[in-house]
Amino acid sequence: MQIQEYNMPDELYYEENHFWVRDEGELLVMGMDDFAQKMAGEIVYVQLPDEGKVLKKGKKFAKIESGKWLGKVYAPVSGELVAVNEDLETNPGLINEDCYGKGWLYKIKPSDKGELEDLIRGPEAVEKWVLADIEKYKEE
Amino acid sequence: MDYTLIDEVCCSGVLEDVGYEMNQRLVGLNLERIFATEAEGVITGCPYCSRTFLHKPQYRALAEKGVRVLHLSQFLKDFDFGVRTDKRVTYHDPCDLGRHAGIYEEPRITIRKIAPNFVEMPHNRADALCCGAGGGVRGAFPKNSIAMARRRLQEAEEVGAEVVLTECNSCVHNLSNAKLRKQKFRVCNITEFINELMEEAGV
Repeated sequence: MQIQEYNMPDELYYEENHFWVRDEGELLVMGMDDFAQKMAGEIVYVQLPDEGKVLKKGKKFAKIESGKWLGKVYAPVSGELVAVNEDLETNPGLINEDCYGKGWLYKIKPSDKGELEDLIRGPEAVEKWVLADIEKYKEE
Repeated sequence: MDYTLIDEVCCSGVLEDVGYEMNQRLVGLNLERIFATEAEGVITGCPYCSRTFLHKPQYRALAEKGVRVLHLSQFLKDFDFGVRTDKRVTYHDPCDLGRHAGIYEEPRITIRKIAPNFVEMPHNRADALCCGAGGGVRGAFPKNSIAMARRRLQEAEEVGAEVVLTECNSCVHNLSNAKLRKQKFRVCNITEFINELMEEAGV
């Protein structure tokens, strides 16, 4: 759905720091959402940890930077990092161009897919959360 | 050695470099806290802080009260750490320590003690290539900044370094970020590296 200037697809799960998660069966794909990429501006660096890294839900496992922002990436679920988007090493701007497509970040093999239910999902919940964040960052 | 830490704030020297004025409130806080310790000297981990403390008139009170300012590399060179590595190690001269302060040999003295396989990059000392992060470049021109860091790292790769040591947190940050996945060497400060070696050796 479109929330003001932000495109937030309905079928995705969202982590509260504005990373999306797509359920692709065995694996989960994650990336930065439209709100985050617009707030951050041009992304200039994405940390791409080695595959095989063990992820713990809620724990920081990578960082992303734009000219004005240093961001942390937290694991949306526990599991194993099985792939990273290597194109971002030389072209991190793909996140700004196409944050739900070519700008994907990581693929995760979850240890318990049930943890997806802890993420934000569905038009109603997403709208409430995004509107609150729009307000929050306006104040800052 | 009898030492203590202070609840430091930014030295604020960089503000002047990018066209603003230094922040007197921050300067005042640092001076107050340093003097409160009654220390004879201040050692900074950041080469920018040490040159700000030494050369900016706002920090003149340090010299007036006889407080000596040293960068960590000047302090470390007289120690024997009792650890060493066989890894091939190179050193990146930070502009704030090298070109701005003329400190080229002290870090090398320390590194040679712990890493006999020390190797220079083609551009070193006063000719060292920039890490791309200094002078506000990282903030203002992030893409160029990363490109400059990559050019520097290419030299580290060419000399076959397994570890790239430097003495500036901005250099560590930018070089680490710019490092490509295929470049397996490690980038860190000398102190950090010595600490790792000591932990490994159980010293």
